[in-house]
Amino acid sequence: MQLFLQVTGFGLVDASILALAAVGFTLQWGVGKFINLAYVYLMMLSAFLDYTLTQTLHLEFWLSAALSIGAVGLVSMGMNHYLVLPLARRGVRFFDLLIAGFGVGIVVEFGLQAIYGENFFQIKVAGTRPLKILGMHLTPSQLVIIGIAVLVMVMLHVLLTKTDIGRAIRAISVNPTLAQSCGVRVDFVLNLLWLMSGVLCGLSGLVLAFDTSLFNSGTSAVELPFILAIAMVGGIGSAYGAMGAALLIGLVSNWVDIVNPQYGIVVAVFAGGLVLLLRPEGLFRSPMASLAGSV
Amino acid sequence: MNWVFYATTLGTVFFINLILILSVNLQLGLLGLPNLSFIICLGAGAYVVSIFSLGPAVPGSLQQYFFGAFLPFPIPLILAALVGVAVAFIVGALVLYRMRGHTLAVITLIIVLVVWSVINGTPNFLGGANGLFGIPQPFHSLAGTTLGYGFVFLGYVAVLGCLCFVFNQRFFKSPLGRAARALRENEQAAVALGKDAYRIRLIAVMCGGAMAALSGALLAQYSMIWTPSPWSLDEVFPAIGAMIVGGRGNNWGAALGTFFVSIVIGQGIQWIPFVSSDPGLGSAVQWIGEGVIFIGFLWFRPRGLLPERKARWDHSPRRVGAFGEADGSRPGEGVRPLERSGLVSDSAVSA
Repeated sequence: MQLFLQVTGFGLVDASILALAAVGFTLQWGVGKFINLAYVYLMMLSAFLDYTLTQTLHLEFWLSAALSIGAVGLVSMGMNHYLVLPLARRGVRFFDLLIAGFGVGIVVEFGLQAIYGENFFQIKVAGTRPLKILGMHLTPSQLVIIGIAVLVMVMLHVLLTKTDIGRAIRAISVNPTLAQSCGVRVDFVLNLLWLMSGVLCGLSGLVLAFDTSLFNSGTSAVELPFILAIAMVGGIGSAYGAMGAALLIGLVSNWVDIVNPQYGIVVAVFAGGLVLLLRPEGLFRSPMASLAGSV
Repeated sequence: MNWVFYATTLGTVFFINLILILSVNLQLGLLGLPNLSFIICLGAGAYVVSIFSLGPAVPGSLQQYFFGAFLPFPIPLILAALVGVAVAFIVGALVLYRMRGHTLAVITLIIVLVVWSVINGTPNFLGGANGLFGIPQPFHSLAGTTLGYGFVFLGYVAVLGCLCFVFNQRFFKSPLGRAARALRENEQAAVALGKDAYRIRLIAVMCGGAMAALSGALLAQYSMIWTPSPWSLDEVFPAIGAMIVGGRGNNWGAALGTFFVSIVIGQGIQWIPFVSSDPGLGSAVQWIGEGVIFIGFLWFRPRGLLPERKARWDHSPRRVGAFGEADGSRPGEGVRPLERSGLVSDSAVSA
């Protein structure tokens, strides 16, 4: 029972990290119609930027975190503006875009490896003494991670439902042509969306680096199956679905890891496949879930 | 002596990769089918050739697998190809009927991840993450020296690679291949003309599975060890990238792309001075080079080095036309057939 509670606590932390990552990913997939394989590699970019800023340049903790997250957001927006949109305009189709995304991903991953080497790095954070809450031993920094995830999800909800930009994103998600003819600047909004998901990506990568004690340029690659599975279980393009699915998959895969640490990933990915086969709109039906998967 | 051995190594790697990329070309190039599960067939072929030539597992030894046998040379290879066909059939029958485009790519990606993680995480089934080692190589009696055996193995993979190449060429030109191309160009028109889309796709995927399994089997025999890492998800996209670089739907393009990606980039990196001194940096720079080249080709030359040739039509005036006109003219001459209008090439994969 103690083990179960403890694993549940870790599952909550995992779910927070995955939720941050998966929401950006699923929005890119559903709204931009682009499966961004570079996403998980960009996560590590923010961790390494933060490492350089804090350890080498000795900037303040929050300042360097904000700078590195913002930088990843800009990189993501640049990738959309200078690579994905022009390629799409040239008539490069979906599957080739996947390869282009993979190309960016390996350039980022192995660029980091070429610069920093294959060694593991560590960013020291305050608050590593575990506290006991409801039978779960969690460090204050892990609690902060959960708090950040909840806060960001609330902000995202406000952004998507209460602002013009959120309405424009939802409109493009449902029907880009109609949205454009209604006066939505599709390319501009897509750039903003990529900026937003890049910020989420950078945030999740940073949080992942804080949570895992040691990281290198390949650390976040293992998150790709989980993020894909969450996007599918939640419904492609559905931000709320991704939040729910992240909680579900984060908890379940950690519980399964008690049995065999290799099978958590299997269960997560298998769930994603089943949902895609049997209920392609995702477990949580929401107005934002567009059927991006069915051509 | 050293250079000659190096050349045989490169040639062997080239032919093994060529078989895999021909398999990709058959599915993604000819049919526009984003089937990523070919990498499972590659793994299956390698495991089958390993367990059928290693003999039963010795209890207490480092490598454990659930079944082993000791069969003479060509049988494990044939079994590997057959298992590749079977795996491709299972996956194809599961997903091809109702999946297209995005969904097909993602669902096959998921199948790859599930199978890979299960085999990687189950130590006693097929060696788990430790893998299998000491896989016997065929034709060892023919050559005494390492160099001599290098030539023997090169000849062995070259024969198989050329056979696969000829097979692909014949497949592309056969009625089935032409129907497959029509299916890629315009599925509704092909189906309206009575082509069974599911059957054509399944046959192509099964042939591709056989070739991928053969490639995996040769790779396992060549390297003598087989672990989950050579058939992980990381190896899927470089194979597809090599096909894109060479030119999809064109077997000569596939060969050229294989040469370019696996030999020119892989070996060219070694000549950069600051890279060659650092082995860790070498592989990183090689991956970066591959990524840059994939993006560059998609940007500047999306149809590849050797683009697919357009279908040619026989306009000789003496032939009786396809529609019964004695002079060979078509009804509505001047209305260009769909295949030539240029709007048809990659539309089958469109988002």
